[in-house]
Amino acid sequence: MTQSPVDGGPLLSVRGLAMRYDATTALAAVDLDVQNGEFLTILGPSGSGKTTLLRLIGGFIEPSEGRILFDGVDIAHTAIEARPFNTVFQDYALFPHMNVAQNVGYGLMVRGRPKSEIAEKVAKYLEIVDLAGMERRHPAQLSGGQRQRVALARALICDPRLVLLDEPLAALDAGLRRQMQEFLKSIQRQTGVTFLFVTHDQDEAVTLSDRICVMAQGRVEQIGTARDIYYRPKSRFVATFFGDNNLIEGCRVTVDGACVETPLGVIDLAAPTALAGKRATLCIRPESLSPLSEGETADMSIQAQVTAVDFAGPVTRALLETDAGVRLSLKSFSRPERDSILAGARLTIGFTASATALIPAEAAP
Amino acid sequence: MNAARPSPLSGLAVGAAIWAPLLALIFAPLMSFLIYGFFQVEDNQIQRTLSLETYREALTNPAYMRTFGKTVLLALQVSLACLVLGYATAYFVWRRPARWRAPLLFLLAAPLLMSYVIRIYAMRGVLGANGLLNGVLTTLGIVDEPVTAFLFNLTAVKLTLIVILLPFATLPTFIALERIPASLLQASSDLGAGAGRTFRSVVLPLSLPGATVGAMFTFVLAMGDFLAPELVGGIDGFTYGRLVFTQFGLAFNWPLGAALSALLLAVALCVVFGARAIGSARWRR
Amino acid sequence: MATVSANFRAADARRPLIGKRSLADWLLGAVAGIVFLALYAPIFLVFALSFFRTRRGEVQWDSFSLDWYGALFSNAEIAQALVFSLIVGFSATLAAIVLATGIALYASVPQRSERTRAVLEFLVFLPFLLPPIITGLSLLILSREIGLPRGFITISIGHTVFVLAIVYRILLTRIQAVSRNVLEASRDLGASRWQTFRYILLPQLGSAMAAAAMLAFALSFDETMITLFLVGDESTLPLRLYAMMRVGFTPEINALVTLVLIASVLLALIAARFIRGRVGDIEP
Ligand SMILES: Nc1ncnc2c1ncn2[C@@H]1O[C@H](COP(=O)(O)OP(=O)(O)OP(=O)(O)O)[C@@H](O)[C@H]1O
Ligand SMILES: [Mg+2]
Repeated sequence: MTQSPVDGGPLLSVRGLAMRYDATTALAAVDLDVQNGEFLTILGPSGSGKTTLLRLIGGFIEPSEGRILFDGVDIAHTAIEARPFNTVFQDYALFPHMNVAQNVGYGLMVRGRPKSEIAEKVAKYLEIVDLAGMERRHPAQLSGGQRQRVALARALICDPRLVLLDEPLAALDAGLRRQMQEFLKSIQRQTGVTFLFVTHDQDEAVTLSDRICVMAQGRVEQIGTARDIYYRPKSRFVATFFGDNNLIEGCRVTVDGACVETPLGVIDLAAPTALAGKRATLCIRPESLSPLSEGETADMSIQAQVTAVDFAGPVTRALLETDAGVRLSLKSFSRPERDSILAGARLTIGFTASATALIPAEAAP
Repeated sequence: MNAARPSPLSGLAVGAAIWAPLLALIFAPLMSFLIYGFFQVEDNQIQRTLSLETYREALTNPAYMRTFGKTVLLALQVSLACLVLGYATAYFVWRRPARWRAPLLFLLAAPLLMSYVIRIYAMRGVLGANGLLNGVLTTLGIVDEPVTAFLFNLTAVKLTLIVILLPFATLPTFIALERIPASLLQASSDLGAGAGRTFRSVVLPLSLPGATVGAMFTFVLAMGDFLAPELVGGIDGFTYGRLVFTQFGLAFNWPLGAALSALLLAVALCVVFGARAIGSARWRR
Repeated sequence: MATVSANFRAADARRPLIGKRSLADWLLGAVAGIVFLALYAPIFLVFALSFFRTRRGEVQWDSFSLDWYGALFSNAEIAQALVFSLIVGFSATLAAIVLATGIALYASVPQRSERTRAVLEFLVFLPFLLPPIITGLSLLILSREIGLPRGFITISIGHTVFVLAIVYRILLTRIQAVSRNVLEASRDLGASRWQTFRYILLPQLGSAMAAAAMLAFALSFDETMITLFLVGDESTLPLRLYAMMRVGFTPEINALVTLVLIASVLLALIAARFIRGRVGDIEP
């Protein structure tokens, strides 16, 4: 875990935050801690409440319930302009009638800072976002990526404690998007400002974030590092949301929680205590399965029949069926010569217990 | 610091600043004129005792009712003429190539910004015994002598109102036509409909509500007008609007004038609500 | 004709056209021609008459002169009426812009209920939708009841109420076109409500306000029927005209009418430019 508790508590704590519209519950009792200086990404499918959470924190809307603690003070009902947070909007929301310098300097101007200070800071921040020399341009005369950077500079110039970004890259094409990801990351490192970033793109979340908060249907499913989320899902939703996963149903954790009976055999595994004695589902990533050659050993080894092989460039995927009738998918790096994995062949595959995760079984049908 | 919402007090102040002028300048006058209808005039003095006498007089006196009926008929004829002529003109302009449309539209709209009195005055120049219309007719040999039938009678009022109110009918029609999605027209021709067929089954049904709303507006304006009847109507062109206006001038019977125009208000409100229903039905479809 | 029709289709493919000019087409053209003639012939007649003399109803086409204009400029009553009209126009326009801006802002607050907005708009549009005679006489009665003498104030109120709907409509449309996000961004950057209005909304409303002001002014300048009820000792230009017309033709009316027409059309043209030109300001 890279969690870095800086001088004690988190920068921002959200407690039991809920937002209900007439018929819909956009957000249901969310708890979330944002650590100082981190890049935290909120990830979730469309309609999962990401924007709602961000707008509540930013102060654009007021919650139906719950608290937002900043420096120990509840700011859930504080005026938007009084919160030391700034937002980068998805459509940039640049002021169309102002030029780049006026846009960037706006936050300082409305605070009544002297002209010389504004000019100085605008120049500095335009330097940071690599837009020096564009001061006099109007938003309409900028490319998408440039507008994005103006929006970023405008949000950063007031030294916010937290920058909120709602899918800021969604409108950019793939190439520019990659470039802007690098850029965002480097700016965040350079300035040390805490970023709360919303996306529904998993790759983006993994590339950028210190931690990821996965949301579904207005709830937080799991918070953790990308590695945690990937290898240690705590729910079926998280286990299947990122990439391929093998979900092996019909497992049972022993009462002492020390091992798991699975259709593949018994695995020694320290199960979460909540699951002791319960039915569970075992998750293992396709690339954590590896074909064993003669004499090799692993924590677990199983015999399986290859039913299909699919060459996909860098990786080759294979579908397997074990003798116990469990279907698995396996991913391994492709090799230039013909693969040892052939349809119809029998294989011994192995995996380590630490590569697996346990989630609660689906409710009994 | 705690003020995500404006405080209830400042919200109240803003609400008051918005509503107060509207209530004082629009609502209150309407109410006071409705109340005035309950007063009477005796010996050129307004008696502030409430009774239904004035309203009864206004609504039952056969002379007033005859004038009212005549004016409704006049307004109906005017608005119908505006509907037909306005629709044809709007449709004509709509079908011009793009570069002609804007200037033609401007020509249709510009008279709205020309003084009402001036346009009536100009119509007098056309309709008079020495007017343009007579000039054309005598030159063409259609009549031998200039006819006096065009000015200072009900026909003159009708013609003048039609010309003056036409822009109110053409503009809504044009806007309704412009709102028809191009894809509908293409779909219709694509499905094999000829131009006439497309007009009858696509263009007309989609634009008629807008045109009707415009025509209803001309009806209201024609009903209440007293300037055109006064300036080109003569004795024959005595309309309900003039009847009301007289009560505030020579006759000096404000309560009667108020009571008489309550009927006008009722008609106007019916038309306004009717027009709203037609206008919004168009979107529900 | 065939080439005209082909051009027509190429220029504007979305309007399905009859291949050949049919009878209906000709009829349509004829009606439109008559309508345009009816709209403009009277005006041109006045225009022409302002330069010529008439004798026993016959226009003397060889008598071109600017005499009527001369007579006009030496008519002090008309000059007074013109000045008064201008003052009333400015006051009513200013009042309508301020009031309509407030109402439009109030109505476009997102949490405003549908009902509130409907009642508000009903009130705003009423004086525009009702026959002017009703607006006029109801203001007359109220001003008498509260003891407000007829004159500048009553006329200005009448005109303000009359043009309010148009100004409101134009401003509301523009306010709704300003992205909500931009306003939120301003608040987010620390601006107060007032600062957001002053620095973000107002500059984007500017040209709409100018256009609305010109339209309002033109409408006020021409208003007659409401004014007739509210006029005191001082007369506006249209009322002066009305009075002159009732006593009979004085030829300098033609000159006056011509000048007023030209001014109105110029104002309308400028307003139209403003309304259209603005779209380009923001997204060139
Ligand atoms: N103003 C509103 N009124 C009613 N329902 C709303 C409102 N705003 C959001 N919702 C609902 O709340 C839910 C969450 O919306 P939200 O915008 O937070 O989703 P999101 O995760 O940002 O989705 P996306 O990825 O599509 O942007 C949705 O079901 C949405 O329909
Ligand atoms: Mg969203």
